Amino acid sequence: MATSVGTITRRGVISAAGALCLTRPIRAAATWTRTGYETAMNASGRPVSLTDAQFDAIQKRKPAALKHIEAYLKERLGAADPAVMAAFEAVPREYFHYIYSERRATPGDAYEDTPKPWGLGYGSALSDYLGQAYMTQVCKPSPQDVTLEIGTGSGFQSALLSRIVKQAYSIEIIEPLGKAVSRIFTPLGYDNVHTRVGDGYYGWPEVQGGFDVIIVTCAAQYAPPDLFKQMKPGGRLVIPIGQPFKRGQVLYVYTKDDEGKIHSKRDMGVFFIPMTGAIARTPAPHTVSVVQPAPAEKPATD
Amino acid sequence: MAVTARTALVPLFLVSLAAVGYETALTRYFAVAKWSEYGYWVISIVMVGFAFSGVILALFRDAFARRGEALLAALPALLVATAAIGFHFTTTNPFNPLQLQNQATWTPQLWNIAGYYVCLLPFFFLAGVFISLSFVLNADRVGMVYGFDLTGAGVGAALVLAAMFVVHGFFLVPLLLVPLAASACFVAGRWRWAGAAAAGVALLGAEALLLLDNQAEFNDFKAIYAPLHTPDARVLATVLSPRGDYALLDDFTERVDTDISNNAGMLGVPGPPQTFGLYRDGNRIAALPKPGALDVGYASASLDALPYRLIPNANVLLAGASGGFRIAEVLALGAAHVRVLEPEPVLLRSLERGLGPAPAWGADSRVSLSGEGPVAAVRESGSYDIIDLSADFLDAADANATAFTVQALADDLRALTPGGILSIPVSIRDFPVYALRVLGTARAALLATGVADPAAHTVVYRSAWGARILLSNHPWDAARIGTLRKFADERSFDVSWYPGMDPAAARDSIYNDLPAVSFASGEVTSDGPDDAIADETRAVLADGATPSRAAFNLAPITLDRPFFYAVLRLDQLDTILKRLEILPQAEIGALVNLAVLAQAVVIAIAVLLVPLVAPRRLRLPETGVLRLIVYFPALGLGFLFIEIFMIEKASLWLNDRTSGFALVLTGMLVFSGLGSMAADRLAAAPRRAIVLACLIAVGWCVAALTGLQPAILATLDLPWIVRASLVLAVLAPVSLALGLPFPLGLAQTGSGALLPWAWGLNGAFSVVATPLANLIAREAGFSRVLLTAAVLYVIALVTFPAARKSRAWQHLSVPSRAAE
Repeated sequence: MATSVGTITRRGVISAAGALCLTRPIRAAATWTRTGYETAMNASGRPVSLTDAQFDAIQKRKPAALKHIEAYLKERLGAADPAVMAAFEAVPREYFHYIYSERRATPGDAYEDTPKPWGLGYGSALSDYLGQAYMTQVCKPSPQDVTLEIGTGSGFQSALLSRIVKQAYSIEIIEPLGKAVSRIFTPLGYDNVHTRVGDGYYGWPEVQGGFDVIIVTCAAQYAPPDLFKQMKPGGRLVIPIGQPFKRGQVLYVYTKDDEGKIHSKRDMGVFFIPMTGAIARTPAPHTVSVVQPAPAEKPATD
Repeated sequence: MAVTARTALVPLFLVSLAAVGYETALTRYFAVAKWSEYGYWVISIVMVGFAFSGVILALFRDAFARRGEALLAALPALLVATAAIGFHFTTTNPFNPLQLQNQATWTPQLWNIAGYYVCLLPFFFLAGVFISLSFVLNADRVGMVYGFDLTGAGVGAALVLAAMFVVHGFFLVPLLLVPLAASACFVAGRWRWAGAAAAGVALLGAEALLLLDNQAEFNDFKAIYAPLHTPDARVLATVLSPRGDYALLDDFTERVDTDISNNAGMLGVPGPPQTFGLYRDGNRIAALPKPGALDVGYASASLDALPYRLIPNANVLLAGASGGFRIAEVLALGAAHVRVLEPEPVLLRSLERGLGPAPAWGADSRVSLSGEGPVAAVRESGSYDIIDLSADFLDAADANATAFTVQALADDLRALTPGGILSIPVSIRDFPVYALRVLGTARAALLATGVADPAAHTVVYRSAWGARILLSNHPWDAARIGTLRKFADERSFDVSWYPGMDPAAARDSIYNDLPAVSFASGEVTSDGPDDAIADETRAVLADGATPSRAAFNLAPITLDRPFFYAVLRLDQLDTILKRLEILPQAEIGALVNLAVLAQAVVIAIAVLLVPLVAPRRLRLPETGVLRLIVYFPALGLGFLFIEIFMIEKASLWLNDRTSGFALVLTGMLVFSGLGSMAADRLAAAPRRAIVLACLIAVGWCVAALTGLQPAILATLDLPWIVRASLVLAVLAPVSLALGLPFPLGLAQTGSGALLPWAWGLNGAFSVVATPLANLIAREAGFSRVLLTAAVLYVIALVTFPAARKSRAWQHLSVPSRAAE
């Protein structure tokens, strides 16, 4: 438990109170402060404390990272989806930098100048933010969508999607990781993220009507046939391929045609840029606004 | 108390034994915990340690010789300590090889690699000191010393490989510390018991460290990690062997591996059932059935089902049983009889006897099981309607790559009934270009069987992740092509080639869009839906120019160059490094090899330059230095080139890389050790001995180049023990002869400081030899490696050092043991 050593302070008492009220949601997005970060981390079972300087340094890097993402998406996909950009703005990435196997927070790694993947322990990694932005945009999320992710990992992908879509479901197969990550969404007020630990092969059959977007990050030899059954018409199933420490992955994007037959496309946009001229023909993504988290109870103040 | 000559060398035997055992144990650790290509780096660290020790001993020979007895007594304790501490810190090193593939993350990993050097070099340096000091103190009977060194190494290799049947890879080092400590008890002189006591204390501490605090474990990104940590996961059975450490897992992620149509739901076909999973060194190799009837309802929706639709009631040769599922699939699809080849020993055992709770295949008159490989099986009599290579066959065992060579495919074609089909799988998930390389190989095989137009005898169809290439000895007719197209259309598969196809027209109805990319420019070159494989198939089958041929190595896979995962062109290294992240892991080995080679060359040059740095210390003769710096390196390279050639041929002969490696390594070390023991007796007429040795070596190389492969292919059906004996019989003459040149050459240089330097030189060039041989084999074939070895022994013959005539050197030699 990384806490500051020393005397009992008001900050310390509040942090402790936050740790006790594990399901108490915190209003995020509009003003994201160091206290808000620490309280949310405490509430998620991952206590940490930062100095103001450390917190500010992270926030200082954020605009440049977002600009980088925007330029990257424009180069590879023709334009940056405003919904994706708004989601990146809203979701505090430093909250997801945590090494679960060592119970150690690493927020200082967030928004790094040279985007890279970060190991989280338990065989999982937080993918670099460019690759994640690319995959999010390729999923083409829209506000009425319901999404399913098999392989929660850090939870960042589901958190991003949850800022855009109606409901985001996520299944993690690795038990210790899944249990820990399931606690991190409520403290941020992301009440439209639903997680479970278990076998994702059959998807999430209890969800009526199926899914618009399905992401499978732990695929074996083939795309699970039962997941295609849960794909809504016009839906997309995305499978990233490759070991997690590369700069992004090759994506296989599956869609269903009118007959119900499955089509796939191998998307290598992370590694291969389009030929000049090809980008002009790509349709621009539609404009949507980001879902704000539900207003919480009055938050603790410092 | 008189000390016999042999007793004085027993410690050397034991240290050599333990050093080779430790090196082998480390490569097993890397294979299990990380990935095996990094075992190469370990071997290079070993050799660097030896080379350094030769240099240090060369520069400070007299100081070491004066304290020789005490050092030899003290070293075992130090060796035990450095071995244990080195292994401990090796296991705690957080090296993650996956991060080497990303420029943003590779720097910390380079520091981790440096960490391996720091913790492993001390042991190998000290072992090298022990060995070269033994040479120095017994300078009058170099042959005997070299003999004990080599036979110790050979026995060490054999012992640790045998231990792998009983001891898990992570616990081999504690075992090896015992002979290491025991060597102290046999050291000659008055320090013996002090040294033995120190070694005993060190042993206790070392075993405590390694047994009580063993930190070795799987890298958490190996395939086994996630399944092992799912809720209710259990390990049901384990098998230990030199081939690998196997684990049978029961967890909900385990299902049959099959390339099933994404339309399985539409086709009304159930998905693949749950199974057990079999892992080897943390990598998944097969699904094994759960008790009860095998459910293969999915079979008709899978990519490999087409040949059975084309030929009902077929007589099938099936390579790779996939734990038994493929047998059941093939029978369900309508095969009348199946001859199953499963060369992977644990998979075969599981079929015949079961493994843990996974049941055996059970008697079935339609099925015959065999542990042979396809190369052997098709040379026997019998013909087949369908020869089917399973999709997981290639990766199930190293030696299985030989089934994808031109020779093997040609033999398969000859074993087909008229109109029979050969079905070849290629994974296109990581790198679609592998399909083009297999097509080139298929083309060469068809031409070898007398087919004039390979394109007429080939069809290619694929899913998103896998392709199947079907070859036939008859041209594909309209009826079969119609069946193929309907089969693919129903299942959202695409046909990439059939005779008469127009790839451009087919783009409108592609199910699995596979855009073409330029490896060189980093751009997507397709404009709209495309089938990158279809674009180039016609050109590949006609042996014409095509973009992939310029960017990649599409040369057919042959028995002389049996490397499947070798599509990268190493002459385009800058492009490869730019695209490092897109490379499949299997291709990375070639790059690791280059890195090791570069390091090895630097070390070897440094050792070569030692005399220039300190010529007086080495007391170089006025003439003949040039001979020395050519002679000893030539020996170091030549011996290993022959060894690497033989390991490859033994793998083919025994159809198993691990036993091939073990047999050749042990055999060559022991026989050359025996040969070198004779060197002392032959020292009276050295020129005659060296001519004899080199002529035998060169003659053997020429005979092997022309006659070995046909002999191997002709005897593939003999029992294993006969083939293993043949391997040893082939090895023996050349190995006995190869034991001579090094001690004979050393004897010629007298007993000056040159002895350790020559030993260091030999060691340094042995470091160069392995990656260099791998490079030559990859680029030009194993026969070129052997040819180079023959040339090297001619060079050795020509540069054999002239006898030292000057008496001035005599008084500088340390009195030999016998004189005491």
